[in-house]
Amino acid sequence: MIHQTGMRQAHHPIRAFTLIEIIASVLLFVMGTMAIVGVIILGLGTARRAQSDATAWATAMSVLKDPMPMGVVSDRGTGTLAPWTWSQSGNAWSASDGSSDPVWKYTAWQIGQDSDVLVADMRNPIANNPAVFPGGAPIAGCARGFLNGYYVERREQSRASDRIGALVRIVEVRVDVYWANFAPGSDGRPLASLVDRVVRQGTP
Amino acid sequence: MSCRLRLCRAMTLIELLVAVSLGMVIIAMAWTAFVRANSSAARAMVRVDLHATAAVVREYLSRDLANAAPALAFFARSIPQVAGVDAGGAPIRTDTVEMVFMCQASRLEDEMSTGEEQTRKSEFSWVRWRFRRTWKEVAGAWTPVSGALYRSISSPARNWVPKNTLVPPVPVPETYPPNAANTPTYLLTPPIAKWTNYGGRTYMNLPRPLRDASQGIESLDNNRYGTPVAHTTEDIGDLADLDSPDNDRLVSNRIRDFAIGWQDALGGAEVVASSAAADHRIDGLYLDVTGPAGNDHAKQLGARPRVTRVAFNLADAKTGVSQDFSFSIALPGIQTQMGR
Repeated sequence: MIHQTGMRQAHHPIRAFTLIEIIASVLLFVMGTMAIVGVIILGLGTARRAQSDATAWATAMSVLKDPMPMGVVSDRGTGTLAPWTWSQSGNAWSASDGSSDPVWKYTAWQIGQDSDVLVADMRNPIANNPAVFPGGAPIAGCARGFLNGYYVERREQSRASDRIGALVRIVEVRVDVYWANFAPGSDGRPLASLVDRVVRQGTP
Repeated sequence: MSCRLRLCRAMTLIELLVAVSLGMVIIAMAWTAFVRANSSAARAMVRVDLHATAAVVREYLSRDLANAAPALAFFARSIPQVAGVDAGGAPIRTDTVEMVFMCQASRLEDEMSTGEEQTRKSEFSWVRWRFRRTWKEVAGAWTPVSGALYRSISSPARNWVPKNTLVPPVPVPETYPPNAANTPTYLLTPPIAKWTNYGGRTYMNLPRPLRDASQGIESLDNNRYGTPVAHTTEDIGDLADLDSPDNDRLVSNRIRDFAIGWQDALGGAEVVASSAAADHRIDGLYLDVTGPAGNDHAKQLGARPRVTRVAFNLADAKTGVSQDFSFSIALPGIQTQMGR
């Protein structure tokens, strides 16, 4: 009987997995799963790039024409959005239209100025970033905020030589679009960046 | 013998428990990571899809607005919370936000030359963008349950103008309504336009439906120049065209809210949103300075949009992902000063 059993085991060895084999199997499974996770994360990166391709440039072109977009649909404002003003005494910015729109701010400028106006250096947004809304006197012609899931900065500049008439002048506009988690003042490449010249006319 | 014994030895209970425990811990960690990554991927794909939809809406609307000549009429209105019933008889409420304007649906900028005969061709159509949202009573409170954005375009009026007739033989006075006995109006074929002289130059007044300021979008049927008429071949489409189910095309059914705004030529701004009733009508008149009472041309001209704004929210019901979008689209004309 013992002999018969031994013969059967010799021809068909019945052997359980060892600890090493089981651990190796589990590790293989985990590696496979993590590989899938890695592929998914890679896909997420691709998806983000696709998203930026879809609307970052459209957002830049939109803001290029309009420093006062409607913004968040549930806080669309009154349509007569007043500029944010700097209160020296209160040491804070405030919106006089009462909307207190937290996502978009801009500062006004006068079309009739006969000197160079607006942002001093709009070519270096990172260096100038803290100056867009400084803790002091307002710099005109700047807008920034969150729009369409992005963080957007916009500068409008016009020189004395850009004046065509009393109420018409050319302005140079720069728009930079970043991911929404972009921290102002930090380094980072914009998803979209545009510079263009626009003719503006004032109210007669 | 010892080798056979080693081969046949199974794991001990401790080894088995250790292996199973270790495996469960690692698999649980891997599975959690997988589920999170999978969920993130699903939300990311939805977000990309929403952005792609927003880009399509913006591109589609931009194309229409780019073809809206500044002389043409522009309507925008909102009608919130209109009571009604659904197909099953249950009470519902609907919001409507819509914008209607005349645009050149297709145009040939260049003159077509066929030997001696040259013509210019344009096709004018009414275009409507309309947002509709449905509310239902859920647990005693009215809750928005669906929204959709539609776009429709009326049948075009083909406007062929022989080049040799572009200059009317006699200048037309700047008054309106024209005196039929003394004022030679020059009607195109079909007769949908009139020439006028202004500042020594000749312009064409295009038909617009808003001679009577008391009429709204429904006055699209009255679009023959100066004379309300029923739908005829002289019409540039009409409201029935826009309301036709075959014409009212769905742009997106993931839209949950929609608002229209614009900056006019005088720097003023308007907003038409689902939260409040609004009705704005901008005349299609271009040069008719001395219009009828209640039709202040200078005001109408100044009220023309230079930048049109839209804001909308897209949402995916399955994942709960939503995103607000806001785009501004420049219309023909010099951009006004903003940010004053």
